[in-house]
Amino acid sequence: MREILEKLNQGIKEIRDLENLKRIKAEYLGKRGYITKLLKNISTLPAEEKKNYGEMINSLKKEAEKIFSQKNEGIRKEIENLSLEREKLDISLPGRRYAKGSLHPLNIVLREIEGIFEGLNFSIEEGPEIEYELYNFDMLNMPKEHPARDMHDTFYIDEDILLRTHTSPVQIRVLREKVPPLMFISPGKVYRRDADVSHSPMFHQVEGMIVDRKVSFSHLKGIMTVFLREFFGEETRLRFRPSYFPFTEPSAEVDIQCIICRGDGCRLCSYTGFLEILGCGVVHPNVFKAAGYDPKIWKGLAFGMGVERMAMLKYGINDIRLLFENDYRFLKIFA
Amino acid sequence: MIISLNWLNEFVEIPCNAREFAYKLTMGGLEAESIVCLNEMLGSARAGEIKDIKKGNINWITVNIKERDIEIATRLSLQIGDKIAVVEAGGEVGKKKVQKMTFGSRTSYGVICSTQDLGMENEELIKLEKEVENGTYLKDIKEFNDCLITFDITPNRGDCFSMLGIARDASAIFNKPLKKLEYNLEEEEIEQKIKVTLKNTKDCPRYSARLLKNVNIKESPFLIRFRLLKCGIRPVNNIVDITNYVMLALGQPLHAFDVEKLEGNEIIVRDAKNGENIITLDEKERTLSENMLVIADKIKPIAIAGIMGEKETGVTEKTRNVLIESAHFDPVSVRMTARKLSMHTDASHRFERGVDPKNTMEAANYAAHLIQKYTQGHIIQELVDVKTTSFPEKEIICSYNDIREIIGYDIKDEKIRNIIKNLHMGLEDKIEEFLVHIPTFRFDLFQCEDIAEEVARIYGYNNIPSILPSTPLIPQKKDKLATISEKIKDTFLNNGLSEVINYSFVNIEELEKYNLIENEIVKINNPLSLEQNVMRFTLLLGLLNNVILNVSRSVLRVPLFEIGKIFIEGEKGKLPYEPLTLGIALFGRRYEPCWHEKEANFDFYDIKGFFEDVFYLIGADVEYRQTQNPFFHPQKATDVLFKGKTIGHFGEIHPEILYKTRLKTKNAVILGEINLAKIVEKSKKLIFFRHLPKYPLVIRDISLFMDKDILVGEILKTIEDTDKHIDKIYIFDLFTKGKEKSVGFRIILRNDEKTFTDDEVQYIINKVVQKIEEKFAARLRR
Ligand SMILES: [Zn+2]
Repeated sequence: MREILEKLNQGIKEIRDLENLKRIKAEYLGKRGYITKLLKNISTLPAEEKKNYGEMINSLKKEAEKIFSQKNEGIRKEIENLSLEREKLDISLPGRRYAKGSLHPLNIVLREIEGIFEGLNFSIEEGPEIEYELYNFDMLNMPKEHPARDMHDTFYIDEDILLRTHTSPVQIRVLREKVPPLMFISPGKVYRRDADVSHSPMFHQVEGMIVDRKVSFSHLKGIMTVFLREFFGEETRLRFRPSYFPFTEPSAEVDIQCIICRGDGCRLCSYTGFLEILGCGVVHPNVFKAAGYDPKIWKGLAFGMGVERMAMLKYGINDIRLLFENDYRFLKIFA
Repeated sequence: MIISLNWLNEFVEIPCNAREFAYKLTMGGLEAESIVCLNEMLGSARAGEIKDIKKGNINWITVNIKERDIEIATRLSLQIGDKIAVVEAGGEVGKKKVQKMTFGSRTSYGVICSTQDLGMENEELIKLEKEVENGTYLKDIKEFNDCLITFDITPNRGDCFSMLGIARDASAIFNKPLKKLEYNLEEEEIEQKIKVTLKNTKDCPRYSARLLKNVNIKESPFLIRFRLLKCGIRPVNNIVDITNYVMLALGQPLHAFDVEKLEGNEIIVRDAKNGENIITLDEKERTLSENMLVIADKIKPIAIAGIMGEKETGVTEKTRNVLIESAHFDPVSVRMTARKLSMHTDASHRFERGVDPKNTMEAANYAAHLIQKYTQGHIIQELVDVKTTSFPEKEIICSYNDIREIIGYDIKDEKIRNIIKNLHMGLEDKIEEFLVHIPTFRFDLFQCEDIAEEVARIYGYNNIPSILPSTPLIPQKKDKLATISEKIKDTFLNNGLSEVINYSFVNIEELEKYNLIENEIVKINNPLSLEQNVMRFTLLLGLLNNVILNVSRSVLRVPLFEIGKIFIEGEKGKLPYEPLTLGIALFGRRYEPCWHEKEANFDFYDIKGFFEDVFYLIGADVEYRQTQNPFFHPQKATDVLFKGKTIGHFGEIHPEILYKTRLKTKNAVILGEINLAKIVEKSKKLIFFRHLPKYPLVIRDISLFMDKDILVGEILKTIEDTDKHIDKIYIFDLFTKGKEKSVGFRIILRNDEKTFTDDEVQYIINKVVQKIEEKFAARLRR
């Protein structure tokens, strides 16, 4: 028996491929193989030897099978190693990427702002960009003779139809169409006759409104603080200072600590250490009256911000005109 | 509004430095935009006396600065004896070094300082008083140790356009009393009467004036001139300067008339007559109309009320007797008149925002005092003060609880009371409420909310806590169009298109030039420029201009899209139609340079693919028809039809349009747009679940030759309709050979009942081939 195994080992020693190994395996273990034959011989033996003989041949068979499977594994690994060597790729070549476009930076910022407010359960409302003067001014406590109209240099289409100067008319529309309590923002394009490095005749605003029975100035501070910290970072220092908008009373302007100098004063913040970022206030009773609400019952909070300014601050863009030039290389920066 | 801290200090004590003062006022609602401290700008500027002048192309002046004379070159025309501010070479001013300068063979050893060197708005020579000793450093003169703060006053705070006004807020913020101006009037009993008649007491409820005789018109003293300059007003002569000085001090605009030029010693305040003319001080002739208020003498208007005086009756060097007008005009009346005449003056700015009607006499008296002091004029005892009302104070009823509710914080009664009193308002406690007496200088307080803001701003917004509201959560529905356009954007971004935002206004001439003109254009009445005079009713012009700009900057690949509104004129008096529209522009290379794709340019099928993605996303069924639009290439573009109506077009632009762009390119410009609002409104994306195939799908390829003008789309429809087992068809091969083309169709067959037999498959394929052969005169390629 030992002889047989010895011979087998000798026979496969030089084999380097699976084909030949299979052939030799058949010679020993195949249907007509040597060991198979030995097993068949059992029938010629006397009954008392059969058991011993059978056990002996079976262990021989097992031993042989083990040798073959070890050899097989060895050869397979050898072949695999060889092919691994040969199938070399230049892994430094750039991958096959499908071209990606970029969202306009203003819409990147707009999506971020909308996302924060949606998380606070605000809905999004839109309205026409060409509006009635009545909705844009009169119903917002800005009658014709109001000096605050000077702050809104307006494009007119017709005597009483204009390009909206803010998205506040959307608030009037929502107040008239929906049932309070209300929480919504109105993003969109607005227009003022003004053009320089920091003013564009068309720009984007996000305004928002909350209407409920019991809301106050301190809630406005709460909402604005949550929003601005979310947008500019948890550590952002804010300051609220009194200001004036005809449609709110009290009104506030919210400044964030200058993102460049962190409050020490630099050119960006005109050496004040703060940057003006949004306006807000408690909705003026006249606005409620104009929309058919009883200001004794309903209280409101309103706020508004310029998307261009937020985007310019976020990305350090110094000329607003770049945003509307649409140079592909500029746009691709935001991909 | 620019204030001088030195000057302000005459009205209220300033307990801190300029920066802190500016900060505290900003936090109180008067926003300080900028601060200029003169002493930081003075450098080594000194007083110098002009000893000699040699005139020429450049004037050479000799200036004495005590220890020596220096020669300075200048283009200014000066006079011997003038005392000016100079800086010697080697010193500095306005944080800049001063160097020697050579002009030809001569050297200038210094410069003359202007107000601009010190950081002021207007450039003006600094002329010092004659009494200042030569060589004195400016930093040792009191008026130069000053800080100027520019406040951005909101339109509701008309009361803050003066030193007095700012001082009132400062006195509340710092809890300091106001100081009273101290002066004496030495009136003289001279018989001279001016009769004043108010014909429109609504627009002019009060007219006060002071008459002064024998004034001596000359340059104002240094203090007045310099303070005006600090506040951004150019000095003229002593009378005009004093009227401006009093306006800056007290907020009351004044006007000075030359009494000898008035017809009939009479002042009539009346409405202008239609077509009445006046030549104003700025030497412009203006035509007035009925609803404008004028000051007139017996014959003609001598001032547009509250805006500007007439030239003829204005003060000149020869004026001897002056009438100082100090009147109150209605804000709305002044505003409307100023707007109609397109005029804006320091006076109208203040009157429009409201000037204290109770202060007219005080202003006239203060002006009279200053005129007497500086021009040796005589104040006539008889004062003019015509009024029809005593201007009672408004009253507002409010409660401490109302204020706390608006603010949302428990500010104590006592604190509220103190703040209101410190703001110079009267407060009367009632049982549950209190009454606030609103002083006549405040034009912005009408109701309790306004008082709440006053309390909050002085209390300090930053001392009020931030709390989140507990408004009930209501499920919020998102608009369908907005949701879909966001999805489209994401699809495009992932497929390599970049988003642009173009202006909503375009140039009508450019629309004409590119054959994009249509009837229903929305025009802007008052455009900013001719380049932006109508509202866009197509995105194509903007996108074409984006391509032009990028190509001109040598960008080789321009894949862009825009989603925005276009504007189509509606009925007269109604708002236009503003459909949300989607546009795409493709130009140049399809791929960014890479090693795994062959270089190729964008073509029609690229833009079609993008639009097909959109229609698929929306679930819209559209049809294509050869385009009728003159902007596009007649063969390489298509109109898009939805429910029988054209809702867009896309493809290559017409070669004629490309020629007009002057682009030097052989590449096609591919553009397109569709009315997104219209198709989204009437479409619905439906997703039906269908179980996965139970029996193996069968795939068969057939290739056919046919005339090259046959539309493959028609064949696809024919194949689809041939048998219900046809699940999908792909076109896997396409080439042209002479007048024919070969198209390879891969047909996927699906049977949900059983496995196909070969015979069944062959039967279907034969049917397909037969049908195409018959209908399109095609033949099977073997
Ligand atoms: Zn800064």
